[in-house]
Amino acid sequence: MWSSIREIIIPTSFEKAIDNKIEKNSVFFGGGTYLVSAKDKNINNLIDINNLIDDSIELSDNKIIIGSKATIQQLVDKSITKLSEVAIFSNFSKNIRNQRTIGGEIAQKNVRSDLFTYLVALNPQLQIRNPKKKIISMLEWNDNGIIEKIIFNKMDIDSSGFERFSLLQSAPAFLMVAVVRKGLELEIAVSGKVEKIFGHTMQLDDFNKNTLKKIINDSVKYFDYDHFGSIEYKKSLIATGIQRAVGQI
Amino acid sequence: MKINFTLNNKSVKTDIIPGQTLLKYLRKNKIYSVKYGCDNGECGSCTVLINGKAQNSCLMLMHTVNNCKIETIESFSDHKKMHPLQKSFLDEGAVQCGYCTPGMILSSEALLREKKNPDEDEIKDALAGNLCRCTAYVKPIKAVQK
Repeated sequence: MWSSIREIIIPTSFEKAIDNKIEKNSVFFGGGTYLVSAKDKNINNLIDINNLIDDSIELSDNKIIIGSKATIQQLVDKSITKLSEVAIFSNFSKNIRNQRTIGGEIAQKNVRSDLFTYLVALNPQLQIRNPKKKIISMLEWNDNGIIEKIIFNKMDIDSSGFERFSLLQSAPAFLMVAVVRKGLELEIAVSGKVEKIFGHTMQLDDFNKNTLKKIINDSVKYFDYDHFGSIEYKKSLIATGIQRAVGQI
Repeated sequence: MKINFTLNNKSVKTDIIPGQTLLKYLRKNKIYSVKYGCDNGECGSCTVLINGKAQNSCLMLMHTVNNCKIETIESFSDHKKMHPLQKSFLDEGAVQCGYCTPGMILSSEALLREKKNPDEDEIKDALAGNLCRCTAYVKPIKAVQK
C-alpha cells in the first residue's frame, strides 16, 4: 500500500498530463516498479501516462525506435544484440522485466542499473512531449516533459561493448563499463556502486596507454574503498573492463 | 475510481483505493496463495499472472490492472486434481516451507505457455525472480523439466 497517494489522474492528452504535473507532489507514472518500490511519502498524485505512450519497437536498417512503454522483457525478446543482453543484466528477475519500461529506466536515472549505464554511453535521442514534440539527446534531457520514444542508431549498438563485475552473476554489478564507438569518437561510461556515472568522450586516435590511465584515475574517484575491494583493485577492474569492452567493438 | 478485471476466470468490478497494490487487494479478498514477502519486488513470493505474464503484485497498483486477466494458483486446481506443475513440484520434493512455491509455479507456468520445452537456462531465467530460502533451486528446475 502506498498510503500517501490521494489521487490517480489518467490524462487524455500530453497537454493535460503536463498541466497536471504543475500540481505539487505529482509524478508521471508508467511501469511504476521504481516508484511503487520506493513509495515516496512526499508523492500524493500519480499521473498515469500509459494511455499516451506505446510499447512499439520498430527496427529498420539504421534506426531502432522504441516506444517508452516497451518493457525490458520486450527488449530482451526482440534480440537487439547488445541492448537485449544488457537489458537482462539490468534485471535478472523476469517478473520485473515484464513490468519495468525503458522510459522508466531513463527517467529514474538509476546509476546502479546496467541498462542506464549502457544508455549513457550510447546517448540515444529522445522524442519528448512537453507538450510539443521535440527531439533531444538523452544526456541533454533535463527531466521536463514526457519521454515518448527512444531513437537509437543501429550502428552505435553494433559498435558497443559492455562489461560488468559482480559477486554473483545475478547480483547487482558493483562496477560496470560501457564503451560505444561513434564514428571517430569513443564514448565511455563507468558506473557501479557510485553516486554518479562517470562519462567521457574522446577521439578514437587518442586512445592509448596514457589516456587510458587518465580515464582510470578520473573514474575511480567515483568509487569508495568498501567490501567489494580496494581502490587499486577497482582501478584494475576498470582497466580490464574498458579493454574487454573495446575488444567487443 | 472503478475498475474491471478478470480474477481466476471470474469478472470483478470494484472501487479501488488510490495507492493500493494488487498484493494487498488479493490478500484482502482471501487469495492467500499470493504471499507478502519483501514488498519491493525482490523476492517474487507475490507473483501473479497478468495477461499470462508473471509479475510481482507488490509493485502493481490496482488502477493498472483495469481490463486485465489475473491468475493466481487458486485457479489451477479444484482440490481434487492437481495441476501438472503442482504434481511435479511435489514429486521432485521442490517444496519445503512452501512460501515461495505458488510464485515459482506461476513463473514456471508463464514460461511453459511461452515455450513447451524450455532448456535449463530458460528455466533458470524464468525463476530468477523467485527466491527460495529452503530447498534452493535444483529441485524446482527439475520439476519444471519434468
